[in-house]
Amino acid sequence: MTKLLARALSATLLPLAAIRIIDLSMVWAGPFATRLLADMGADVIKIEGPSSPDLVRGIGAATAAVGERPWDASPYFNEYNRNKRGIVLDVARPEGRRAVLELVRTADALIENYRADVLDKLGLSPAELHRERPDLIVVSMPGFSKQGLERDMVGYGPTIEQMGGLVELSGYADGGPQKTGISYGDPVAGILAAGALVTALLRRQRTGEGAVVEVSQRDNLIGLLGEAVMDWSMNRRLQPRRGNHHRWMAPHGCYPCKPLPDAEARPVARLGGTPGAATDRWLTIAVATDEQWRALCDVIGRPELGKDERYATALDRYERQDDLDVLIAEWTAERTDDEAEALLQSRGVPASAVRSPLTLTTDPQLAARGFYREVHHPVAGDHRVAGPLWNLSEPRPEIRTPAPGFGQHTESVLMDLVGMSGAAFEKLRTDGITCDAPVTRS
Amino acid sequence: MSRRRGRQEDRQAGPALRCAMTDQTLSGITILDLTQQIAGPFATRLLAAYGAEVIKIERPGSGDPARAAGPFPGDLPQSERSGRFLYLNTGKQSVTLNLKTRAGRALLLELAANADAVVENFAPRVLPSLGLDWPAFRAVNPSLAMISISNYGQSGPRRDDSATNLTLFAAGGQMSLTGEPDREPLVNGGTQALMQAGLHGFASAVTAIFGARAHGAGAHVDISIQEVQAAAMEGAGPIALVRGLDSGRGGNLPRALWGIYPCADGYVGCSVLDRNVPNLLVAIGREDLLDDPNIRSAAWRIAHNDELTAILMGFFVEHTRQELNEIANRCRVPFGYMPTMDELIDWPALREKGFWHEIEHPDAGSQTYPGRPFSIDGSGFRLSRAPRLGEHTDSVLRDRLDMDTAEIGALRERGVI
Repeated sequence: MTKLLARALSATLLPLAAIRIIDLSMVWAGPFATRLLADMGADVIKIEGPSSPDLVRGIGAATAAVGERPWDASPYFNEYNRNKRGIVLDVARPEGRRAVLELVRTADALIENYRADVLDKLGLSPAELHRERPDLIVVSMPGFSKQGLERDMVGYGPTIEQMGGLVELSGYADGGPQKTGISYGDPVAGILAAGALVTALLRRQRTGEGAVVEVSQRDNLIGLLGEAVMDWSMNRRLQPRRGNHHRWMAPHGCYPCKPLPDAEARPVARLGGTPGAATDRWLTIAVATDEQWRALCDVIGRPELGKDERYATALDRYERQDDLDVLIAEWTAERTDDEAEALLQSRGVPASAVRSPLTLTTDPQLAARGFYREVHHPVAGDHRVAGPLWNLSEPRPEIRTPAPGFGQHTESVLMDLVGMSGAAFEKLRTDGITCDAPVTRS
Repeated sequence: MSRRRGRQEDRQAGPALRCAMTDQTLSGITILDLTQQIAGPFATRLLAAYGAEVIKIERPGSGDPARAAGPFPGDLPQSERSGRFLYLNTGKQSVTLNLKTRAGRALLLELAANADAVVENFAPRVLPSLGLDWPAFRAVNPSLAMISISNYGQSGPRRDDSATNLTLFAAGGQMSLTGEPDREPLVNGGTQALMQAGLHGFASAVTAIFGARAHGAGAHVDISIQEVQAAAMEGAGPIALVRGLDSGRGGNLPRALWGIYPCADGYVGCSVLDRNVPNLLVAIGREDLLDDPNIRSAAWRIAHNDELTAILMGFFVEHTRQELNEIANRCRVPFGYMPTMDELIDWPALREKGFWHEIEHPDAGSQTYPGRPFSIDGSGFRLSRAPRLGEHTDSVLRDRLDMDTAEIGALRERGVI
């Protein structure tokens, strides 16, 4: 009975319930890590500085909607910081540092993505943190390394993907290296940092030991290119940029479909200007087997090509893929992306429309899975966010709280967790150690 | 759990090995690995590298299809020499098991009874059709974690659609943002849709195992490759959700301080935020602009984007990649050198930290493998070669399921292993 009861109770607990993480990170990589952990039940306390709010608080809000607290209305910030609490402390001043150390005493982990030397300069080195809490997990995520030849190097997501070898391998076959569409180094570092933090928690569970964890964003990126490393190691071959073509699959490409009617054009955000409009639609197709090739030929109304000896094997198709691309593009140009995708999928041919950020918001697959979740934010209003990515069978992870306003939880966190008195908190406020609106640095 | 630990202590080869094992971060954690190809094996590769015991179940005869994928030394296909397989399966044990036989499925469940997690990336219909779904695993081990990675997730109208890395990169949205605005959307190099999902597989596995140990109950984790990308589109995802605005392809130069430029002998990245502007001005020899308030204003920089682009273009074409890398280091400005693979392997800082591992394999010879992505107290990572097909079938059945030589021989005769 007790065992059954225990199981029934535990089924209501997320994996990281009762784990507290102090989060000194900013922008995307670190916040993406703590977003994943907060979604799994961790109590993430995000610390911002009075004059150093998270940079992305300034990004993306509609000018008409921002009101008196524009820094609380950023879609970018609010997406990646839901399920967290937010406090403001000037950690560069002794009273702020002391408050952080008191919070650390109540915490299981601390994560930061400052430049390599900053934590030490703030008097928050791992040794100092471990004096407060010996079994703390301290996670740093430098672009390159906290010591050695690259300790002074600065870099953001794009720098990481460039220096990690990815950009050199990406690009149109007739062009130069191509930037990814996002700061790709950031989310992949964030996912790994989340895993690294819990890996250290698992060790602590067994040994009781804290840890100093260092995630190298560039080194992680190289690990995403293992096949290219192996090709060099085995054959001294540098993989070429292939556009959307593949090492051996063919046809393998991205084809233009019938555009949207102008009246249904998608509004597109433009940097610093009024929205533009887009009507383009695209379809990707990847043929991996002879069977898929024959099915493709049937679907595009050219069954004779499926029997044509010139295209019998993957190698034959690979060598003539430019001709095949023309044939396929003629067929897709007459159809919408969704129609063409459905026809090919009905015969088992791997194909997908190129879905965009906006078309995904009405994607039937994501909708059927309840991927997007509704949030009510006191400043930004009702909006949707992407849901938790680790879909647990039980309990279902939820968006428990919207992203914190700037300094929203400073008072409650300091009072509840470290027993600070109202008078002491007021003193922090009058001394400028904390505030609830960003201070412009003079 | 205590029973399993007891068994392991009894059965580890010797005291020296046991000592080496306890050194590892994830010591004592057993993963039953039903993954194949790329996303799943990448997840369990990381678990193995940090010390978990990973038992990979392969189909008798051909094994993981990645064994047929290459690249191969000299381009000669051989199932023990596939670069994809060797890279993604370092440090694992290989057990052949025919899951289409009743005995094979029974052995799998026996192994699951003493494992911490099952990780799998079959098409969603496969395991249920074999009677090996989450309820079946949970029934033999209530504290088990199960991680399923699939193209579109375990539910929904596209659940069973066919997909590859390319079509999934399109389905998840990141492809729509990648490439030049006036050309077709572009897939990233490598197999990034699958690798992102693999990272999630690793991180969610340790999290689910942690939860199971902390609270006593396991859980099934359903990871959709489409979803993990749809949730990682930087500002573009939330701006679509909140403001109903799409984002297009920014190309190589979305704005003057953020992009890729041609230089004297190739290309270089420039990723400068407001805080890096002074260092940039010093780097390009325009100290005269340091006191100009305009250039510190984001709005001014947007309005004068073409002008700034021209200034930077003029600077970069005058310098080689190597010169720009030296300037980046000296001036602490985020220029991005873009090494080719041979340059990366000789990169001094990577050599200095011993990033690359040379690993000998009896069939594939000595090859260079990427190493540690994160350290725990300065270490915590080990790499050993990928297994030959079925190399550990006998030892795993003997050590973990108490089977003797005659029983194992009988299974082999019946085609179960």
